[in-house]
Amino acid sequence: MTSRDTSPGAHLLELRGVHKVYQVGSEEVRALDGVDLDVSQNEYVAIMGASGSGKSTLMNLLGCLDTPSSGSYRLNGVAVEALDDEELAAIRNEEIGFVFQTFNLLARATALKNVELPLIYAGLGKQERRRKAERALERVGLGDRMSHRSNELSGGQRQRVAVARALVNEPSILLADEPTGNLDSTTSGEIMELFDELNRSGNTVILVTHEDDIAGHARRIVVLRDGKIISDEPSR
Amino acid sequence: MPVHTRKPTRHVPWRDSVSTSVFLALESLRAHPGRAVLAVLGIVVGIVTVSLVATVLANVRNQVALLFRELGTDNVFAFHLSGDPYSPPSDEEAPRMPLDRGFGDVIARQADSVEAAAAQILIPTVVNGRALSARAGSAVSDTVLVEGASANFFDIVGAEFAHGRPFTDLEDRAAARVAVLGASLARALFGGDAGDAALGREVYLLGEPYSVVGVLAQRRGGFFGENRQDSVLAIPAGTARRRFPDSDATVLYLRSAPGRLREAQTEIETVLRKLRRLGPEEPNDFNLSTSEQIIGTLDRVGAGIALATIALAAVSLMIGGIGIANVMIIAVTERTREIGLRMSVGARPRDVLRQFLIESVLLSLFGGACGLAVAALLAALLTLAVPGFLLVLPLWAVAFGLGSSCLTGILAGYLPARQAARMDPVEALRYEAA
Repeated sequence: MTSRDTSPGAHLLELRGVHKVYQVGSEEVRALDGVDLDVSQNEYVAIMGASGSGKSTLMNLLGCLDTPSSGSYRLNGVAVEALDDEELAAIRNEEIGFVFQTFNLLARATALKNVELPLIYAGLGKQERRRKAERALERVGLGDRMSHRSNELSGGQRQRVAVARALVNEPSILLADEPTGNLDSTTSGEIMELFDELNRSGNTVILVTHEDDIAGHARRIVVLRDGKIISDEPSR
Repeated sequence: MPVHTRKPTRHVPWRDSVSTSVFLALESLRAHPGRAVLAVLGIVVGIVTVSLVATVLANVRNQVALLFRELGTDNVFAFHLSGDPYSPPSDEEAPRMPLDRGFGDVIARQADSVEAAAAQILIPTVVNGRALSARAGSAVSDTVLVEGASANFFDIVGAEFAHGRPFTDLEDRAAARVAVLGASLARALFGGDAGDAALGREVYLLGEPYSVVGVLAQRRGGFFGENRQDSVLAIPAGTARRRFPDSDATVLYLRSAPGRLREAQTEIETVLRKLRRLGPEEPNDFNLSTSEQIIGTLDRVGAGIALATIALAAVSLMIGGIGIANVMIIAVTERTREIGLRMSVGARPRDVLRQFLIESVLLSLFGGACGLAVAALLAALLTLAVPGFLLVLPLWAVAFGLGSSCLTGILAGYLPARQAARMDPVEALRYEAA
């Protein structure tokens, strides 16, 4: 299933020799130390590793929240390392759908308003925003909770709202950072089924997790240690 | 796949960022009402100060303007002193001789642009150490303003008669004991609805009877509804000269031909200088004014007061701005994760900057609107307490109030908003509230 084509330009995203170095006091921390990674359309990838392995840094780079210190990152053919803050914001808006461990919803806004947020920054009109947000909420099974405020929803429902928000602008990649970290096991299962379903219907999904059973949902598992990829294999 | 650089052409419509920010601003107002109230207090105080002073000024100005216009907009007033005829003269002007009543007729004859002249002799409110009072039967009024008036005086100042008639020239020359009463005085002496009941009745002044021949209509304008012309007891100028020989302060009312007011003023000056035998180097020993000039002087005073008020308000607004900035800094810190989230879904730095600026401006405008509301309320109370006070909030005060609070919001909100816009999204998302 997983394509390991190494010819340039054939993948949805391509990392080549990516380094990320932080200056902590007088010490240099090499959070990523020469990462090469290709992910193709409609893949389902889990990124694993212990804390401090660099998986969060990789996640931030993939999500264009951050840029590499050196090396190159191409997303859909765009050289991300050359973009400025404005262009990065545009890429995040159009290409990336984030799902966070702590949901990160606006607590007093309705589910609908939360899901509309990326569309506001996409510059869409009110009616189109509403229509798209409703469709996204229906897709995650919250068609009957649209006008609930997010602080009136359960944890699982909140994460579904977050997934709908990630989906709403039809991004190239769904990036989920420990998406089940704050959920009980039953709800976790439901959320993972949602990701599985989204991947089956054509979405590219990248999960960051340290739990084996969550990673087991993916079809490819990338393991990091000390800022380097130590294994990259199909799951099971 | 070719590598290309993206040119983001997204445009977040103002309407959306405003409506989103309004929503968020209202949310944070609702979440921390006490904080918001304290934050806008300075702005409220500033705006209340400005708009209240503006309201009072506008009222005084309107009333005073009306008062002087009632004396005739075509008239030139000549008096030997500058300033209020009822106030004591300055040391410099004290030696000046009062104007002669006869000067009026000379001016009317010699100055082409002057149509008619009337004279008014001012009787001090205290004569020989006794306050003047008017009596009719058992009714006594000691808020009486006695003056001598030429027969044509009422016509020239445009005073309307509710009942009766002005004096005749004959009564003036013969020093007849007749009187014309102002509306308030007639009411005080002859009852609530005096009607023509006062006509033919006797009014006693210093123990001497005067027969009432006319009652004036209520005058418009005045200081807070009080117009001293309504308390007037006018007797013929000739009578005044005989009964009050020590009172010789005379005001000449010189009516100019239509549209020739300026010309009349010059001509009057020339004639009066001749009559007073002033040498070419000597300054005028009299003062000429028109109602518009008096109003103009008042307007300059009013503008000065308004300016001082605005300066005062600027201090309150500055303090208000500090309050707003403070609340915005707290809001930006509290909502660091929200800022990170917004950036992660595609908010550009300028979108974040705009959002917090709008919030800050909204908060300030909220303060400004509260200030205007409080000022309107206080002005409404004033209209109940002070007769003749009109509820007018001048447009410039409203514009200043809203404009300056808007500006305060932008200035106070800029630094916190820029701090928000410059956040690193990774750091912001990782932020844990302390």
